[in-house]
Amino acid sequence: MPDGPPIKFRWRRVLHEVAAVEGPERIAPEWWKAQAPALTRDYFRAEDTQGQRFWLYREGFYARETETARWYMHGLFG
Amino acid sequence: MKSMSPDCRLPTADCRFAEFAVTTNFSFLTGASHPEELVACAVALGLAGIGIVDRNTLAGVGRAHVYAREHEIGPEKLRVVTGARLVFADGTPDILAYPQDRAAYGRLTRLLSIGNLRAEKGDCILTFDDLLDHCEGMQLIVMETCTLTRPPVPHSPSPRPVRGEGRGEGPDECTQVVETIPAPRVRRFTQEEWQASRPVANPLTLALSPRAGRGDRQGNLLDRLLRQAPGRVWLAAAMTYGRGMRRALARRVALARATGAPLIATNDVLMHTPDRRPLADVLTCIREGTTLDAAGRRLAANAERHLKDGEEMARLFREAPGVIEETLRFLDGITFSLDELKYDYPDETREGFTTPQEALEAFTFEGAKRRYPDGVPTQVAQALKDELRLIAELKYAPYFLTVHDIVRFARSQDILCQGRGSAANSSVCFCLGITEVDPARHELLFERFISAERKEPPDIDVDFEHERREEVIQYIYGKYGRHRAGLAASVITYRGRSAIREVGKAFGLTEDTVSALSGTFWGGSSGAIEDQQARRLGLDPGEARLAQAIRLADELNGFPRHLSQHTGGFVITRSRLDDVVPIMNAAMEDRTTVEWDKDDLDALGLFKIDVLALGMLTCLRKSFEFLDKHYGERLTLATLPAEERAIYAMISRADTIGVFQIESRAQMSMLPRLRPQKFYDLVIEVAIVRPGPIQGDMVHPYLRRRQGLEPVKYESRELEAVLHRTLGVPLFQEQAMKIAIVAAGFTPSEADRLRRAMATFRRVGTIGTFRTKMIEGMAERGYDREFAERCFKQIEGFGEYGFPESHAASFALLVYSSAWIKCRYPDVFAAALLNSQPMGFYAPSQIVRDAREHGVEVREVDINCSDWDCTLEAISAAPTVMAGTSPAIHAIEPHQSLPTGAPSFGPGLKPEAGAGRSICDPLQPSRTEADSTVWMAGTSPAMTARALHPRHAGMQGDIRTTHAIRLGFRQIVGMREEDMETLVARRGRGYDSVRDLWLRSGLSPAVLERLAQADAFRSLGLDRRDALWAVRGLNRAGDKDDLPLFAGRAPQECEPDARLPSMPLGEHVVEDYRRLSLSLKAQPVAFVRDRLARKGILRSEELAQRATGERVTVAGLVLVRQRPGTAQGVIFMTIEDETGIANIIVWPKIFERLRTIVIGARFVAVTGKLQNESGVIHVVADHVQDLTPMLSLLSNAGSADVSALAHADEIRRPPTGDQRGKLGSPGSRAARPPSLAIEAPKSVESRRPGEVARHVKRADIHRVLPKGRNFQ
Repeated sequence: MPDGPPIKFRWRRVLHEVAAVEGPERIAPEWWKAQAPALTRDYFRAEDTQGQRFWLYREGFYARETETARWYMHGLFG
Repeated sequence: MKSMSPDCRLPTADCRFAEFAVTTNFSFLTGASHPEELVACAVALGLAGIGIVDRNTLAGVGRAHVYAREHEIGPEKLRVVTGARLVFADGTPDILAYPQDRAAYGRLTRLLSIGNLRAEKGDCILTFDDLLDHCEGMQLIVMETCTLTRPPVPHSPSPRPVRGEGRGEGPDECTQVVETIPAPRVRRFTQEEWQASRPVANPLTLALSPRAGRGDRQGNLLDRLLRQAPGRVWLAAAMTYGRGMRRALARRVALARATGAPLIATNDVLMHTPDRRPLADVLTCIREGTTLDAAGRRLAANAERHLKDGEEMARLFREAPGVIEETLRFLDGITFSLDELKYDYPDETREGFTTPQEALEAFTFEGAKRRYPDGVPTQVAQALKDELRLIAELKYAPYFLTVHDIVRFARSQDILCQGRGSAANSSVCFCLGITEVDPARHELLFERFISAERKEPPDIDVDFEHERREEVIQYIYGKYGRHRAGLAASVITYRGRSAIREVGKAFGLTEDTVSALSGTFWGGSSGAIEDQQARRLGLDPGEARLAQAIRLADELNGFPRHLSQHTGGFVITRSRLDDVVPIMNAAMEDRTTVEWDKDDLDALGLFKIDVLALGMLTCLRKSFEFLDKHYGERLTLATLPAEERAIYAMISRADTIGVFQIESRAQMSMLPRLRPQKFYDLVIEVAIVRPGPIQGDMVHPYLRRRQGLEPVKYESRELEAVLHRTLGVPLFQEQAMKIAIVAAGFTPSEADRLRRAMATFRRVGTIGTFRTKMIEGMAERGYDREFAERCFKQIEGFGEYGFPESHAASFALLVYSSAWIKCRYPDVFAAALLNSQPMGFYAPSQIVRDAREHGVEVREVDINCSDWDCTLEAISAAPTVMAGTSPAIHAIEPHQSLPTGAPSFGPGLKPEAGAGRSICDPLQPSRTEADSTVWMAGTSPAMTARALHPRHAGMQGDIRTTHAIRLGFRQIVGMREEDMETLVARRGRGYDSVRDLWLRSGLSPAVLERLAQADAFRSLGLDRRDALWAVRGLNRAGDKDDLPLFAGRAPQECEPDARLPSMPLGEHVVEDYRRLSLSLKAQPVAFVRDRLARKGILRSEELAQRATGERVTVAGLVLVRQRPGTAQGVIFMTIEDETGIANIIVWPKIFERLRTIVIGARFVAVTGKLQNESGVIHVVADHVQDLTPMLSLLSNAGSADVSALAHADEIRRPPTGDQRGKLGSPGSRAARPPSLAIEAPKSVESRRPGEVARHVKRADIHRVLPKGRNFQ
């Protein structure tokens, strides 16, 4: 089951190379809510080679929930 | 973003893995899977082993073990090992404790017992030191945290950026990696946030850093534990996708290195598949008393805590090598299996004999002499010899001795008892006095009562009088001590109603919705709520949330909720009980229970004796006492005249209200068809109306063969031997098992497993494999496949309510005995039944009605004649109390005491008219205009011919009753026994006035009021209203008459006569029902007969004259609703009007439509087709109408005011001042149903009848009448 962290990612046209990462922290959707996000998210905290710190997540389990999991930027650390 | 993740597949190594942190649903409201599901899933995942560890309990391990055994899951496939998750009260992290051998297992059970006994029922208080004291021989896994009080959520509670409020709310859209679209707004988090869970480059390097794993609390604790259990301590690591998962793993690795305790991989499992996450969340909500919306972080963030296979676990733990292999090493260290539990019978019962066998033989032959004073019949002697040899062979003597000892105690205390169960009906048991079925008298050809081949544990259940069983229980505790005797547990599970209620709450459904949904369940039934039911409630089953709630409620169904004590299953051991199974406090003081239920005990080969309570035994003992006292007949169960034709004639007419077992609707409709003629027929009757034979469709073939409509034939010669006594139709449990052996080729041990699967198949769902085996096996041997199917269906039916033949025989004896008494002495029977309430199917009013229909005179509760219990009074005897002496009685004018307005009390019934008769019955139950039961009127002292209901006319010569029943004070609602004992003790020659009663008995006016409301002053010539007036008029405290000096003086009646308006009969009847739950004066339906007649509604007695197929309408009060589990949802209703009872069948289709009426109404009109089959009349309902509101007419009925009857409604009677009481608290006196509230006179001026407030709250009347009893 591919639930590994990103090695590099491009965000706002800049390519970031991951130096250290923690995760995944898996958050499953609130199944009892009608408008609940349907997909599980894997959150990662990543530090790139420049020392910039990100919080990103991948939406959707491969295989079980989706064929094309997509990545989102959740936030940045100060 | 094309696959930037590293390939996470490991090069395939050997991924054998055993999961040791498995929590089942026996960790109540925490585990979300049954033990059986977890074991099955572990097999499917190819695990090497699974360790069941519930929170401070071993309650679930038996289930897992038995499942593996029944499914022949050998150790080579999957090892199921036993342990417990110790959750400490002192903050120590949870520790999984696995005993390596039997001795260590005993230490674990003792440890848990200590914790259990320290706490209230259901709790366990353990400290780390307790573990240190007991940990010898245990392998221990130290978890990361203590999960006490808080639910065991993932190890570090995760913030929910997506769910919660505040930070992290709403993900920034469009920040997709690789895409170049910039996000409009990206949240910023602080430095601290980052530090909280800083990424790790490589957990191993972190773990190796010099600072790691030192000095923390866990380190200290581990040191102590390692000193105590060197080489037996492991550190658990779990990768459950919480926050900082990799960093946490690094810390564990470091700690392991620092302490030397090896790290072991687990997934801290709560469920067998991730699909159980919704249920797990709901369980959390139920446990926390919150809703899904409010639970927030208390819910698990994800569904990862499910069983995972070795490969996946290896992938998860790729950064910590060796932790997977460690699980196998851990597994190898454990040799203990629950199969090693061996049971030792207590041995003090041999009482001085060298061996238990010797003791048993001595007691048996001694008993044989007592049973057969004229010599033991040859066939019995032979049977004794055979049985004793078998008992010796199987070493069961101590078991029989234990039962014998208990039964002997009961007999010494005059407690009636009788054994049943597979080993009960043997000659040995008869001689030991355990059973009363005389093998010589009844032609019973029992199979060998224990099978030597099957090695099944002996099973004897003993029924005791329900009122006195506690004495027996305390005797057992006294004899063996609480450390050796414990009650079996009973696992209380979620059923339909409780499941939807709890789940509904978790979903935040409104109270109304939850009530409505749970109201669709019948009693304790289960099964999913169907869409149409929901729609009928005005709910949309398509609505997502509701649909989810209904689905989850169904999933929750069958989950254990808590352990309760079994009704009487005792486990008694030779040495310490807590060496075998953890014990715990029961809800009741002075009781201990074990953690396993009877199925577990049975499966693990532990000895259990059932000390059960049976109401009928109480009734029979009381009957025997009456017979001895009033009729000079000294009888016992064993000496009752056997095989009397009159008894069978009565039974065959289904005249069996109150008779043991055969009083239910289903039984009563079977009786006229089966027409029992001899004892064995009763055995069959008892067994045939059971789920087994009915589901197996065996009933009709049997009936047809019995009636000679179909030839008796056997499928094969072997089966003839098994089935010849039941005409070729299998009816008993052991027959079904024998068929499996002789016809389907089961080995005896397989048949034994089948028997156990029968008991548990619903839960385990394992019977399917047996099914194929049995049907194929029978087909191979040339049996008809359809016959095989039916045999198997029957076995399935036996699942919950199997009736072995021996068991049925014991019951049949009680059937015959109770029927005998009912037939010969209906007075004795009814009085004993009333004195044993609550028990049986029928409420007191039906018991009384039935007695009167059999010519028994029933007299009202009276202060001068009644005892607490119902008593018998000689009919022809001269007045017993104060024979014609009391001036007080004659001082009261007859018209005062007997309201002339009521047509019921005719002139012949005034007190002075009853010159020759006891003053205790001035008011005979009499005919009224409304009462058409003419047959009842002629109760004369001379009693030449008994006044029997025409239905029972044939019994004229059979009944020997010469006594009347005097109802006891126990019949009055809310009366205290002690008060009434005082009243009786001080009665002397009788009370001659209300005042006299008050002064001499010292009872409070409130009690006297209750007596007055119950109309118990008739012997003083006062009806309830007069009596109440007199009670309220008593001078209260401070009066000089209160002084003890004057207490004995005859008081003066100085109060002016109060001319109270007479109380209409209808109101009397309502009050009778309110206070006594029955009325001797009339049946409520009589008062609305005119209205019913106008609607063309028949009297129930008229049904007999109608032809089958005719469409009829009857109306009556609902007495009983019964929905047998086997009748495919058919409801049997019994309704009563003033002429008798009518039996109603409601098919499921109609029931679905009229659910609320069928369940809720107290008075109904039923329209449908009449069915008359051999005199058994049913109305098959196609419409049911709720007539309950009509009952509010009753309060006026019988009065002259006809117009009031026609236009009765609340508005015409404006509420008087007392209605203010409505505003008071529900429990306050003012809020009580005030229909009889007569204001206490405050001054002389006000004591005029016209000012007596009288207000009837009509709306409440129907509530007074019985709601009807529901049975499964």
